[in-house]
Amino acid sequence: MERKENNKEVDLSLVRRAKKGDYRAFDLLVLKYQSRVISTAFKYVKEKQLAEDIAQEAFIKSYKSINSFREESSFYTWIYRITVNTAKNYLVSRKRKGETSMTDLSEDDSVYFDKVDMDSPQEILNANQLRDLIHDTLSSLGEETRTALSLREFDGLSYEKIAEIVDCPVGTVRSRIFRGREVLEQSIKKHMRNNQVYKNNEIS
Amino acid sequence: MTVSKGIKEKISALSDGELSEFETRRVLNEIEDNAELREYWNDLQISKRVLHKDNLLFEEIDISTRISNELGKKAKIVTSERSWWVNQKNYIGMALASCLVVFFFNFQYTNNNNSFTDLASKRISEAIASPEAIEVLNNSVSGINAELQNIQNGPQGILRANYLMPSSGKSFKVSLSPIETPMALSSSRASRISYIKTEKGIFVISVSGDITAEKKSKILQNANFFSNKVK
Repeated sequence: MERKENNKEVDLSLVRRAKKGDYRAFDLLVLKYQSRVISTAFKYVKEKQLAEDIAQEAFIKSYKSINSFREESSFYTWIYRITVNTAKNYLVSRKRKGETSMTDLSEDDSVYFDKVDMDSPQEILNANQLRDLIHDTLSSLGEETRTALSLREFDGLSYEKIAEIVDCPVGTVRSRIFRGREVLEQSIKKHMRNNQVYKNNEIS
Repeated sequence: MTVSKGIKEKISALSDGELSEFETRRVLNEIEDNAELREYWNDLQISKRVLHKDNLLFEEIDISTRISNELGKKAKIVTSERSWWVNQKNYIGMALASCLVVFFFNFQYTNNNNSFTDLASKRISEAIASPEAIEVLNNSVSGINAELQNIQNGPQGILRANYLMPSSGKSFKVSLSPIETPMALSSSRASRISYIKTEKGIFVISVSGDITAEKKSKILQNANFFSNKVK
């Protein structure tokens, strides 16, 4: 719960900057949430390309009306609602147009192909391997680094609270969390490189 | 451009909402001028999602440039081509596609048929080698001003032909898959998909992309029509 609240505050600080006309802050929100927004749209329209278009429209709507966002909910909840409404409106307009059943057939079919792309055994295997890797990497971190990162990521504690718990300056907590993330990122990159070599060998 | 660890540490803190207003402004200025830092933010989000076992679907898609273009913000956002994560995926995809395209044009079959993918690819190649299938595929886009851009392979032998419509700049793809693949069988709903029947077997045909529903219907109708005609 605390993690969610903390995440909400992170987003709101970017939203407030966006409200002041700082598009760079909004761009970071797009990068953070685009895949989840596309995923939400996909549940309604069942076609990858359309889901991308609807996600794009939802982000554009949200930026244009960012000043009407009253910050009572999280940014994600807000963009989620906009996405769902945009997707529903699209489906209603498509129904009004009375598109032929043949069209529906082709779109369902494309869903099947697009879904195959994303749920391929290789993708699933890769995701599972990555998760195992994360577990191993976390275990390999020094105790101080692992504690700081875990308290932040899994318990959602602020740097200040972590500093109180582990009895060190806030700046040290920030550095430890960063160092832990660096190690994690390197592990992930190494994993991906190895995966690439394996793939290339498989091809040749 | 070399990136200092100090600025990355600040971006890490920004992702936790732990930067002051002043620091946030400075970091955003840095990100604006350095695509590598923007990528770092993106990679940080992916790492967090992996950590929290979130769904990684659609992770390879980046619509941020499209959005900034639509909002007229292009000049203000420095973007690199893609993040390392996406590059890895694309590299592998391109390598696989290149491999299959060579395979396709030479009609050479691999001797290593141990894996299911190899078998599926062979079936696709047989379909392509079939004059009937080629005729159906060619005719499926008749009446539509479209240019073939490239051919890519998907998982388990699925083949996609990517087309561009020069007049509008829109693109779409026509996909072909052998009905024998387990995925095709598991999702086969006879009233919901189109088939090409050739001497080599039955193949599923699909169309998707950035074109109108009417055009998609026309392509499938063409495929059905010519498929019946060449029997």
